[in-house]
Amino acid sequence: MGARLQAVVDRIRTQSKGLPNIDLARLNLRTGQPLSRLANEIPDDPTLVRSAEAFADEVLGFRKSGGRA
Amino acid sequence: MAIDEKSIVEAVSGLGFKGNEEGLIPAFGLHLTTHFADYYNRSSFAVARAMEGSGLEDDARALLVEAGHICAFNTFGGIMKSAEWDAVVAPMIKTREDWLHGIVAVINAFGWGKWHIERLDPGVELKIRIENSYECTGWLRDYPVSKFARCYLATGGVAGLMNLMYVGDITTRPELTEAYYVELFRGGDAFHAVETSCMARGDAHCELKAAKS
Repeated sequence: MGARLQAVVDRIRTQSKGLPNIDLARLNLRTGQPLSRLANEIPDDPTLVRSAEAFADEVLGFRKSGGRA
Repeated sequence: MAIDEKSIVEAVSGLGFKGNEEGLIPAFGLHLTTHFADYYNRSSFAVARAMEGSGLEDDARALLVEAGHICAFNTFGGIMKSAEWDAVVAPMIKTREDWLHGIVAVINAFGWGKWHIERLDPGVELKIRIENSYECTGWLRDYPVSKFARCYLATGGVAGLMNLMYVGDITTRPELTEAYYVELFRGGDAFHAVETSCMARGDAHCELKAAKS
């Protein structure tokens, strides 16, 4: 259960460029799930995993979020 | 203490902030906004209330306080580097701690409630009491007495003051870059604040304490 989600949480926790707890709070709100606390209990739903991974890429600087043109 | 708060409030109040031809208010090295306090209140309280019962309350609170950190860094930091600061506050400054008394006087000129430094242990702890915090007056008008403290922006602001003064050194007029923000607010040495009393919770006033965690 939640191995991929847990991997996302671990990636943010270890690679955050700032305060991991702030980045993880943003992850939780972005996905609507308390992933930072319960990732390994939440099923690896593909949509949720995609959303979490996209956020991790964004917050860790691998991809820019959309902005105003 | 060398800081004459009454003079600062009078001077800042007399600066006559108004929009320029672009609708912007350039002052204190920043672009200020003037709008209803409830614009911010209702946005932040809507987020906080929407999260209550979802299991994400603490995450919402952390991010609303983080917004206060960023506000403090840019707004308070910008003010303390500004020409207006040099003209109005700097001549009164005799000690390093006067910088904090000076910025609190400026905050009081802005009408965010009446801030008062209850205790300042330089580099260690700052305790601020706020009478009529605008976050709380807004909360109490619109919602029942809260189970939680609600001064999110002020909480981040109080921590921000200590980080600007004692983790970084705003007195040297550093560039307020993202890298400097990370250095001040995201290192192991950063100050964090907690709201120990809050009018929204039924207390007589709000009290915030910043210390290193």
